[in-house]
Amino acid sequence: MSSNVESNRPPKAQAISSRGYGSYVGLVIVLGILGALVAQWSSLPAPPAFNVQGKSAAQDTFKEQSSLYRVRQVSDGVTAEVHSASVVEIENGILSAVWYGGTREGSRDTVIMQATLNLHDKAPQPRSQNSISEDATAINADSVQRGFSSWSASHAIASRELAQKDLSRYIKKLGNPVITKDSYGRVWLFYVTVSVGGWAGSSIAVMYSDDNGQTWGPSRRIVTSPFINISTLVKSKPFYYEDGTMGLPVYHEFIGKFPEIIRIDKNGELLGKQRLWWARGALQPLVVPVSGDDAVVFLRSASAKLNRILRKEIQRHSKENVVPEAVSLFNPNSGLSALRRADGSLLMVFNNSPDQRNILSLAYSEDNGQQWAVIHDFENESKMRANRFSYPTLIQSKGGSYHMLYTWKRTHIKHVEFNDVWLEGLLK
Amino acid sequence: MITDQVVSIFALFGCGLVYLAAILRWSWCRQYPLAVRWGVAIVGVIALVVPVSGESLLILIRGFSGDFSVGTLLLCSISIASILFVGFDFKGVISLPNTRDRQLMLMVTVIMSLVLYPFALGWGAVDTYGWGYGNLGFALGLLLVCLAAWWARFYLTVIWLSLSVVAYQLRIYESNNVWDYLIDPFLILYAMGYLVSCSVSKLMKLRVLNTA
Repeated sequence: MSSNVESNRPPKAQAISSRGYGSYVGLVIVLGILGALVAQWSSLPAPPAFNVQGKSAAQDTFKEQSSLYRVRQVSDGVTAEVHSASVVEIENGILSAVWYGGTREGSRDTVIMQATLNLHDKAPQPRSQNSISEDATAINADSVQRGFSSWSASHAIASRELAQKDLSRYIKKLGNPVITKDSYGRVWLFYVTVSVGGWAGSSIAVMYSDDNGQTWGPSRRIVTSPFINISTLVKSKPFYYEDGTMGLPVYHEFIGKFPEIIRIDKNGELLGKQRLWWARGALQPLVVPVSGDDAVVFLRSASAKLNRILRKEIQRHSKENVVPEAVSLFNPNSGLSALRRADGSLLMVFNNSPDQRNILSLAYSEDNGQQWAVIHDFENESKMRANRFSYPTLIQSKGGSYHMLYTWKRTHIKHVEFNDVWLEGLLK
Repeated sequence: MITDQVVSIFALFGCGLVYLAAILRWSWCRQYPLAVRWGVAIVGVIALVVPVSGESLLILIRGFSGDFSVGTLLLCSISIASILFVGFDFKGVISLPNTRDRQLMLMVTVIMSLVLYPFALGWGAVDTYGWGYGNLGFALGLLLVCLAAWWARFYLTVIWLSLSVVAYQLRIYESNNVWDYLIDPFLILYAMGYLVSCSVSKLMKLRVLNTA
C-alpha cells in the first residue's frame, strides 16, 4: 500500500462544477447495489419458534419396562488421550458418537474419532486392532459378556491434515466436536480448529454426511467473529427451530469470555447470532427450549469465585438481555449437559464439586431449572483431586432411554444408558 | 451460486495480493526500473506458492491472517498497479486515490472499526457484528455514507462500499456477514498508521511554516 500523503485537494470552483454523465451512471449503479441490500434486509422474517425437545420422546416402541442402567466403553484406546464426546441418534436405536483424541490435548496428532452403537444388536462388535489401551479392551469385553450391544471400532473422520486441505489454510490442532442430525436427515459435525495460539485462537469448521455418518463431505469454515475469525468454540449440542434451522450454542474466549447462539440453515449458512451474555466468566452455553417462545440457557461458570452453574431465560421475541443467575448446583469451571423430558422436567449432568471434576452427578428439576435435586452420582472419587470425569453430554433416544457420554480420566469415553424406570426409582 | 472451491481460490488470491503489495512496498523497489520491480514480484509469487515441507507460504499466511476484506484488496491492488504499471495510469484511476480520497476511505474504516470491534469482542450487550447478517439501519447507514461520499466526490469510498456489498451479495468469502467484506483488522491497523503519519507530517509542515 502506498503511503503517499500528498494532498491534491481540488479548488472549490472545480469541486462544485457540473458532473459528467459517468458520475451519474455510477450513482445509479451504486443506488442499485445498496438499494438492493436495503430492500433485502427490510424483509427479513421474524425469529422462528423453538422446537421443543422431548415433545415426542414418549412415543417409544422399544421402551423397556424394567429398570435399565448400563455402562459401556465408547472409545477403544486408539489414542492415548480422549476428550469432549458428543452423541446423536442417527437412526432409530443407532447412536453415533464423536470425540477428539491424540497424544494429549492440543497435540498436532489430534483427530476427531467416530464410533457407532446399535442398541438392538446384541452381537459383539469388532474393536480396533490398534488399541493401545488394555483397559478399553477389558471394559468392552465385560459389556459383551453381559449380553448387551457394544460400540463399534472407532475411526478418524477429521484430522489436522484433512482440515488444512479442505480449509486451504494452515491448521495447528483440532478440538471439541459436536454432532447433530437435522430434520432433513443430514448429519452435521462441527469441530474446533486452531491456526494460531491456544484455544482462544479457535474457529469452527463444519462438515456433513447424507448417509448417516458413513461418509463425510469436505470441511467448511464458519465465520463468527470479525477479528481474524478467532476465538469461537463449540461444546454443547445444538437445538432446532420450527422452520428447520439450527441453533448452535458457541462461546468466545479471546479478550472477553462470552456465550452466543448462532443460527444455521439447512445448507450450513450462518443466518445470524444472538449474544447471551457479555460479562467475563460464562461460557459453554447449553440451550433447552421449553416452549415455542421460551428457552432456558445453562452456562458453565469460568469464575473460581462463583463456582455455580448459571441459568438465564431467553424469549423468542424479546431482545432484553437478562443477567444469568447462579443456581444451587456446583460448577468447578467444567462442562455440563441437560435435556428436557417428555413431562417437562429437566435432567442435568454436572460435576458436583466447587473446585474438582472428581464427582459426576445427575440432577432433576421440575421448574425449568430454577430448583434442582441431586439424585445420583455416576462417578464419585471425592478423595481424589484431579480432573477425573468431565464434559458430559446427555441425549434421549427415540426408544425413550437416556444416553450420557463423558470423559473418563482422559483415557476413555464412557457411555451410561438408563431409562425412565430407573430414573423413577431414584425420584421416589 | 459460488462454490466453496471458488471461495477458497478467491481468498488465497486475496492473501497473495496483500503479500505481493507488502513485498513491493517494503522492498523499496519503486526506485528501480520497471524490470527490477517485475522481477521482485515474480520471485515473490514463486516463493509464495512453492511448498516447503508440504506447506506453502500462501497457506500459512491464510492460516494466520484469515481472509482480507474488499477494502484491503482494493488498496493493495491500487498499490501494486501504481508500482508495476508506471506510465499506464488508466486515465488517472491509479493516481486518483492517492489524494484526500484515500484519507476519507481510511477515516471511514477507522470509524467503522470503533463501532465494530469493541462490541464484537464482548464489550456490552449490543453485538454490532450481528448487524452484518441483516440490519436495516446498518444497510441504510451504508447507503447514506455512500451517497454522501458520491456527493462530495470521494469516489474511492463509493467504489469500496459498492464492491464490498456486491462481493457480499455474491458470497465470494466464507463469511455471511457484510462487515467481513468491508473491513478487517489489518486494514484498520494500516489506516490508523496512515492517518497518524498524515497528521504528523501536517503538523511538521505547520511548524516549519511558523518557524519561517
